Amino acid sequence: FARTSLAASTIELPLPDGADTRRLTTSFPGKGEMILQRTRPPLLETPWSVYDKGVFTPVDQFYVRWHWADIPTTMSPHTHKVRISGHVDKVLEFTVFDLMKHFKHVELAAVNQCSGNSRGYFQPRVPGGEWSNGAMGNARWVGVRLKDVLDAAGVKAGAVQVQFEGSERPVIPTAPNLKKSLSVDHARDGDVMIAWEMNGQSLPLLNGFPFRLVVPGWYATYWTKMLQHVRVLNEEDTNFWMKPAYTIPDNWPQANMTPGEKDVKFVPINRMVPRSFVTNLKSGASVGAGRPELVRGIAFGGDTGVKAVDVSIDGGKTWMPTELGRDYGKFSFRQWNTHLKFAKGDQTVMVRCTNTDGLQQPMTPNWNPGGFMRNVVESTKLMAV
Amino acid sequence: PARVIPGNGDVYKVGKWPTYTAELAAGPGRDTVLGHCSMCHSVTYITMQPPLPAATWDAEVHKMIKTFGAPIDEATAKDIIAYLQAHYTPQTRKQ
Ligand code: HEC
Repeated sequence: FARTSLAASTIELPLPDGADTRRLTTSFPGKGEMILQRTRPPLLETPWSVYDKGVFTPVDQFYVRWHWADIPTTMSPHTHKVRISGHVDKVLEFTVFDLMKHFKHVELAAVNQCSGNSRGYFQPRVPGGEWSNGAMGNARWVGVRLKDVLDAAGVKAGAVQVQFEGSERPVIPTAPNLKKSLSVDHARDGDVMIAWEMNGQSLPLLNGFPFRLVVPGWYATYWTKMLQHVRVLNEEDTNFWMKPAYTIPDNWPQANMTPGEKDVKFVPINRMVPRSFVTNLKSGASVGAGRPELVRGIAFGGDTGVKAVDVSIDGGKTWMPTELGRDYGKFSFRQWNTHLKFAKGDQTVMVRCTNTDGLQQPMTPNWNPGGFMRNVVESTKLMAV
Repeated sequence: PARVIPGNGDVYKVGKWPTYTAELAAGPGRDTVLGHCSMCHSVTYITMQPPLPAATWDAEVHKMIKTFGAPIDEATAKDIIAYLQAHYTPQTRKQ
């Protein structure tokens, strides 16, 4: 995808319309080489080549996204607590060690993807974090079920939603804290967890040390980092970050509208949709003509597993199946691979994921003013020689 | 990767991370923008944007004021919008 220039340590993503040069950085705590989108508060993108290395994203190259600049730089797992309060029988507080001691441990592989991953490819362009495709990652999360923690506090009848708030704060006291909510049923579905470990390591501070919420199959806006407050609400959360921020046109799975369209109903962003990518060949690469060439990549089903990944080299007229790699569970990345024979000249490989609910990536991109939920079939342009 | 500084026991303490910020285009209003638009986030958030239509910049500045509580009065907002429109629209953006 990206062109790198080692000398300047910059990279062109590349996005349409320019303004796509970014620095590469290794200077963030707990992080290896990352694409620097913004220092304050940090927005760090995973370099594309990382996704070819395997199904799980290395912790030190897992993308980073914060909203407010006041982020604790000292965090003690002995004193940082998550407080369960609101519409509950008793208010409870837990450090990470308390969680480890009192509740059953669970492990789950799940993709964490920013709502605005790939926003930079929207046409017409929309303001926001101008990401390429690297605002996503896959990890094995270890922690406890949120359900078990909520049950310990005792959710009272009449509870509607559960609200999550982490330790990041706005620099300006009157600005709205980042708070996100899930329905009580979702929060208690047994999949949502509080996790302190990813891929066998504790979370880097910039990924939410000592623990964060994991909401499998849902966009990362709900995966509250440095989780501090879990509030059971007896009415719907109307705070700014639930609405109008992070809302999509009410036509899931498209999340689509026409630029300028009036009277569109917006709802909070929610379940992810399927995506797939080629990872071993970048657009612009040369491949051999007339002999089988390995093409490989990753896919995920969104809020459910991957049923099939198909490829096309005739603009989507015909599709060929690929071989799927090991299944790490329905919320994980899944590798796929195939061999393709190209005729000499310019070639385009399209890749399309179908999930286990039968939902397929669309051939035309969606559009919405937030730049959310892009999942169009991706094209990789190659030169066969 | 940058060093994680070992603290007391298991305290996770990190040093300052880089504060690199992109250069804003030279021109009247530049200092006003630097003064008011880098309170909450670096102005890289301006240069990172694709060329945005003039009306979008107007809307963005008012969004910062109304929804995020940026303490910017209307006269200052006008100057900021004029600067952004003079350097960061499809017609005016240089690089
Ligand atoms: C009171 C805090 C605050 C101030 C002051 C502020 N911003 Fe923002 N800005 C935010 C927040 C919060 C976001 C959204 C969170 C994010 O994307 O990290 C944001 C996002 C943006 C975006 C991305 C698009 C969007 O709407 O999310 C742009 C562009 C932007 N700001 C420009 C500006 C400009 C220009 C100024 C000066 C007039 C400014 N900001 C001042 C808080 C602020």
